[in-house]
Amino acid sequence: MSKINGKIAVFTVFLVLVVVYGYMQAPTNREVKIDSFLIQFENGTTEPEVKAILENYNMTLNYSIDCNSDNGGYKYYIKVDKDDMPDVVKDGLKKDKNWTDSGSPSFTKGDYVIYPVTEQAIHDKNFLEILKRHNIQVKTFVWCLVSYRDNSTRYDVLGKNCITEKDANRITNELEMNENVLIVMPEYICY
Amino acid sequence: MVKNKITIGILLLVMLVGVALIPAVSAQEEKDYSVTAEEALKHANANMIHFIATNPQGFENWTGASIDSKPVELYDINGQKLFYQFSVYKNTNLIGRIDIGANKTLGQSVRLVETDPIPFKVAEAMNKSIEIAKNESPDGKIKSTTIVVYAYPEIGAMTVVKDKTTGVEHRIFVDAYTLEKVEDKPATETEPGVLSMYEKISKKEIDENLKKWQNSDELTKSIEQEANNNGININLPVTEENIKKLSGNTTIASTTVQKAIAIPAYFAETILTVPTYTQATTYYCQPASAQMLTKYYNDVRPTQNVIYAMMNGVAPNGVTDTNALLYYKSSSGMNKPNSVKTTTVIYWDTVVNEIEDHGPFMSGTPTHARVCCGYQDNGFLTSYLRINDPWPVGHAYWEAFGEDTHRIYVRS
Repeated sequence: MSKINGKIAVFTVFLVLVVVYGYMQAPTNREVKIDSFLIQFENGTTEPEVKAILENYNMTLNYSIDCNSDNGGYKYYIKVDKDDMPDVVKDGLKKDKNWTDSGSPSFTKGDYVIYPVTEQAIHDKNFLEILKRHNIQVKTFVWCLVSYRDNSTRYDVLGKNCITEKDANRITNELEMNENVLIVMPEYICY
Repeated sequence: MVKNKITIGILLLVMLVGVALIPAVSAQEEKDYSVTAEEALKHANANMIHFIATNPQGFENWTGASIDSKPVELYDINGQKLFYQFSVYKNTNLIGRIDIGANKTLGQSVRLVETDPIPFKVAEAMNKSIEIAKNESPDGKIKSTTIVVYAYPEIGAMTVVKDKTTGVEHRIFVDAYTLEKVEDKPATETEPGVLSMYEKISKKEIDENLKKWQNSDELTKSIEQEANNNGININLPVTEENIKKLSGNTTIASTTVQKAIAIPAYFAETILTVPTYTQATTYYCQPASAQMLTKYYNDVRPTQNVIYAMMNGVAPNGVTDTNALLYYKSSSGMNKPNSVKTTTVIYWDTVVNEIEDHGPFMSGTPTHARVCCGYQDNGFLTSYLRINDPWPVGHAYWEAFGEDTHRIYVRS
């Protein structure tokens, strides 16, 4: 009987220790930490090219690269010269609201407007005719996840497997200057 | 020769006066951006009338409420005054809070409106931060203890303690809801740990924000003018009697005030019925937000543990958007395969379209995930987003537009 009681006591102490340890490990702060970047590259950029591009920047920590279309959102876009944009719009580019998504607005890159378009648009005869008249091709975004994560159970350790917002802002600004990089999105760890 | 000397003399004098004036002008400009407590009270009162009149969700019982004219001053972690937080009472019960920006560079004057405020423990948090400071630095000199927004929208106490020997300053943060210590690195402006709201405002945003403040001031003044015409002093708390005076009839108060003063030329509002859930652990904001959205889109409520696992969460780590999307997209999760993350600069029209055409979405600050389920647009004068926040307990509030940094849009 006393043996069983002893076992229960040991088990209870163990359980309490586990709970206390878990509680101590739980993050109670709200530090801004970024563990990766989701980067949108120009059509046709290959993973080795991505690697070569990133090597020119101080990324602060070691990272891994995963270029996979499932990482990102919109697949397709068109690239229109800023000066030609009014003509293309006049010709009906914004005629059908299903051709674009307000959640992914167009943006400028150098002398061009990058105009994300839906899957529906690229199968729409009218839409394709507009592109044809203006000699515009449908392009595909290349999405890459550049991650600082390692095999640690804690992946939110600053200076080890995630970086500060200040570094993330610097990297974002620097990378977005590169002609092959369209958008850089820091991955904030949310609590 | 004499003429040349006089010319040179005048030039030197002009330069001298110029040199003397430039810092004075700059200082004047800096000073001009601050908002006094009296100005803030005017804005709080005027906007309360506006909310009572427009009657969005959560304000149904606000008629007859009054604002405590003595605000709690909330500071930024950089030491600058950030918000005046006014408490709203009805029959001595706390029914709301209105945060007014203490500086015009923050933008629109009303920063946050809580309609189901969670009581927080200002005195206890301050005492605890002092206590920790004394324990950790027995030889230190406590320089100040203030209530701060340490990582928007989280509020806590900050005690600054200076080591008498080394002269190094430390900041001790204690959360005002949980009374838990919030870690910080030694007090340098660039060290991470907590988030300054002032530091995130870029120079190019300042001009735009000043315009937004002017717009909200215009709305306040138009309400103030109408109140004055009715013999009501807007500097005094807004009572039921005042609302009656403005309407002449309590039963039609809302409509009359609405027509008379509170509705600008353009007004639009939509709130979607999204439940508000509490996050089950300190690091479950993404699962809790996804849980709210799943209930809205699919009318089911999976557990936050299941969602966390599908987001590849490993306790006790937080979750990024890309990992959260694993759950959003999965057929065994939210089953919204075309959901997307975005950090592109958000435009007001984008939010309106998103809510109207698609539905609620995850709205993230740099450290936290919440759900945006509505908006209120007062014709470029003021604009708010309706936020369901899972931390520290699920609650909803109106937030000045422009506070979020990243979003997940839900797409089938």
